[in-house]
Amino acid sequence: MPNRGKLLNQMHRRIILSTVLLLALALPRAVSAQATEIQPQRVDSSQTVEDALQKNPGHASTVLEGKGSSLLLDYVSNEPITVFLVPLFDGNNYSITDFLSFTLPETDNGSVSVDLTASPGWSQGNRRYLLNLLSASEEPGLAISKYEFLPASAGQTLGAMVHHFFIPELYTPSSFHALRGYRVLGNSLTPIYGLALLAAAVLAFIFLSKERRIQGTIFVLIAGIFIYNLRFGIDLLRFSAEHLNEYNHGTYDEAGSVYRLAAKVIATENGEINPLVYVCRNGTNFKEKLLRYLTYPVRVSSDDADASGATLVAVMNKYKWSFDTGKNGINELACGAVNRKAQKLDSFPDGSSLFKVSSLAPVND
Amino acid sequence: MTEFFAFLSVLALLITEGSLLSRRLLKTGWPLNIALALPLAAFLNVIITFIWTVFGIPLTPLSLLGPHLIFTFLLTAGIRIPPKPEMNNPVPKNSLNPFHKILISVSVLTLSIVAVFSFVHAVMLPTFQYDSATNWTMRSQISFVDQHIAFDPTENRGMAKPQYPFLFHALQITANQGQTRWNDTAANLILLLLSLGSFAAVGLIFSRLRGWFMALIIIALTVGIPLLSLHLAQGYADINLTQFLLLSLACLAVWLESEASGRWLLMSAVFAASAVWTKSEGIIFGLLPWLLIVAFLYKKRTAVRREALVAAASAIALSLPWQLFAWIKGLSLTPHSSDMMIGFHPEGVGEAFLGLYSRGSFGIIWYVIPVFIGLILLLRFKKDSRIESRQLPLLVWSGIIFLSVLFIYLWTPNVRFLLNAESYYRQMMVPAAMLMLSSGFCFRQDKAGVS
Repeated sequence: MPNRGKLLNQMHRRIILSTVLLLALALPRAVSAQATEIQPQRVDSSQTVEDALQKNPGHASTVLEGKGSSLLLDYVSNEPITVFLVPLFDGNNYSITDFLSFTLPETDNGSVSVDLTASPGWSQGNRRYLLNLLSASEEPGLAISKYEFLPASAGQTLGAMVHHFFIPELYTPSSFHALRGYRVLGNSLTPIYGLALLAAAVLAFIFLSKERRIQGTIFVLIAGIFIYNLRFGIDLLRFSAEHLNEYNHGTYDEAGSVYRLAAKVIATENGEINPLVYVCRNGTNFKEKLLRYLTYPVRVSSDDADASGATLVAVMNKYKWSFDTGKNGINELACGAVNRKAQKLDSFPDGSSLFKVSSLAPVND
Repeated sequence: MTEFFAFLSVLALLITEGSLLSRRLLKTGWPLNIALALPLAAFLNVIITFIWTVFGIPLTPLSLLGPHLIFTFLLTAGIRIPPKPEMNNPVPKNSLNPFHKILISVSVLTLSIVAVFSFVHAVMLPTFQYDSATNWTMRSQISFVDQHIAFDPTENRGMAKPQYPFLFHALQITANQGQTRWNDTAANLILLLLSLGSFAAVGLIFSRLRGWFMALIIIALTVGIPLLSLHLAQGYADINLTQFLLLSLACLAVWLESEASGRWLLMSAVFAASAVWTKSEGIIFGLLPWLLIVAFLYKKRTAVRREALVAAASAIALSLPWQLFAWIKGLSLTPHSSDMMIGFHPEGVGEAFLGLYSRGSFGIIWYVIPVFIGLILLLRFKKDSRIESRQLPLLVWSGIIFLSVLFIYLWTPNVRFLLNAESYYRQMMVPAAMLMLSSGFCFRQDKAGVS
């Protein structure tokens, strides 16, 4: 089952402190005044992490500590660096809802300012931040020479509170299991709001007249539940609008274009004997499972042992594969355990492709 | 278009059958009969499917729809319109103050938002959630193609849950009769309509005792529980389990306040049995505590002993076939084979608490429910007329479910599903909804018509 927490943990474990990355030399001190502002993105899909891990073999990490709304960095790098940043709490713990991602552009001598308040784990106090740095080459020429935290104004803190309150719940293939809840300034909203509501109910019980005491207390409690549920209702409407819009354009959240791909499989394999789709993929099996459901009774497998019997090949989230148009119109597909003559049937908005493989014999035999 | 009309035909048959059965059993008005139609038809459908499964008869349009058609025909024979519903709404007319109007507005808003979300995700969008594509709806599809309920012991065909009872699957299979291949939309739409009927029925039953204002609020509060509203997009049976238990509880509530009518207790028994056919947890959350409550009332209220006995026997008789079948077939009677390894898991205590009070699945409902229960007990202690003491057994039933969930996740290896944030939250939806509805039944309306 796809699990963003596991992927992020995996990323954390895979971090190798490269000697080339001179992060250890970075000290908190004043950085250049002309910093390029970077607005990081929240990480709300395991696909983002998977893609970054697959495309970037160079991994390193560091922890920076300070108090402020923005992180200023002076650095040099001979290639773009993908950064996953998360505030830490209680030692080295973090919440998977708090991750931000951004890219440090290639520069000879650059300075950037990263808005930390975009993470719901950010708070105005002193915090430690874990930075996972990923690069396309295993030994990038990256050196962070200085860093500095810019203090947060009252307005920024207030703005961050409002921003955090309206950050939507995560919607994932596993959302039916549990919802993470809202986080504001690094704290879970549920206990803060729940306890505040109980306090309001107690006050209503104490101060209302005897005749209205029970009614008033119940009204406060019911209204409190509705307010929270309506906040979640905003997310329900967001999910509905976003998913409908995506679906009309050929994708659907983390399922990507698997529905269109499945429709193509059905149209292609209709009436075929023993059709088998070999799924050539990296990452989780979510799309493969969906494809199996959507095309049943067509067999769907990512097992290399099944590749030789495949009639179709679906390439989904695969990072190293090739499809070459050879001489005499013979096309060659090399992906996972498949190395066969193939005909491209379609490609889809999420980057996946479907091929009909025409020969059992490997192309090079 | 043909597929759409095929679905409509099956739907019309099930609704006609279910509403006629409801009318026979409850002798009540059409709105409630129609609301109860699919929940009752779903139960009849799983019994038909079960009989064919036992005898190895293929699940075809003829074998599935034929019995429904015959049963519908039999139900229409001799039907007559009763002079008036047995119970009229006892709530006096009242004027609504601004606070009531606010609550009505937010209730309608909540219900509207949930309706939009569930319709979009169940009907306009295809199956998305992981366990639906690997367990629940997948099993329905494999069974539809096989024309037999699938009991695959391995995941070779994409699903290995032979121990799951199959009301969910049977309904999806029947809804797909007449389709040339598996229709994902039909499968999810029939479940959405089941949910719609169930919650409408619970609301209508509630309104009979406490009026439409309280009914509207209690249904909006229940449906608005964040994780529950998400599940109304369909695909997992937890929502259906919750609905059947709420229906059983609501019918029991009517019986508790109107002892003359054993029909409501019988209906409560049918829905408790439906829960058993929906998920394995239906026994622990539904049948067993339901029998306990009825046994208690049997002892305490001698005037209703015969009704209680008939209902209890019906609940057992309607539930037992699946248990016997599973036992004979060597299937686990619990969702996982390790479920009976009892032992305390202290590592789960903190997570169980945080799951209720610090995460997002239930909003702040677990902060409020204990206060509701405290108020009910306080007012009961003071013999306040706003508390309906006869409904207290409902709270006991709901409390048993809550403790059962805690036991399952703190005293069995299921603790892993608590620690990795999986089924614990889905199962806690049941006591959350049951406690909310029970609390509502325990509050009587005051002179102004609202509590």
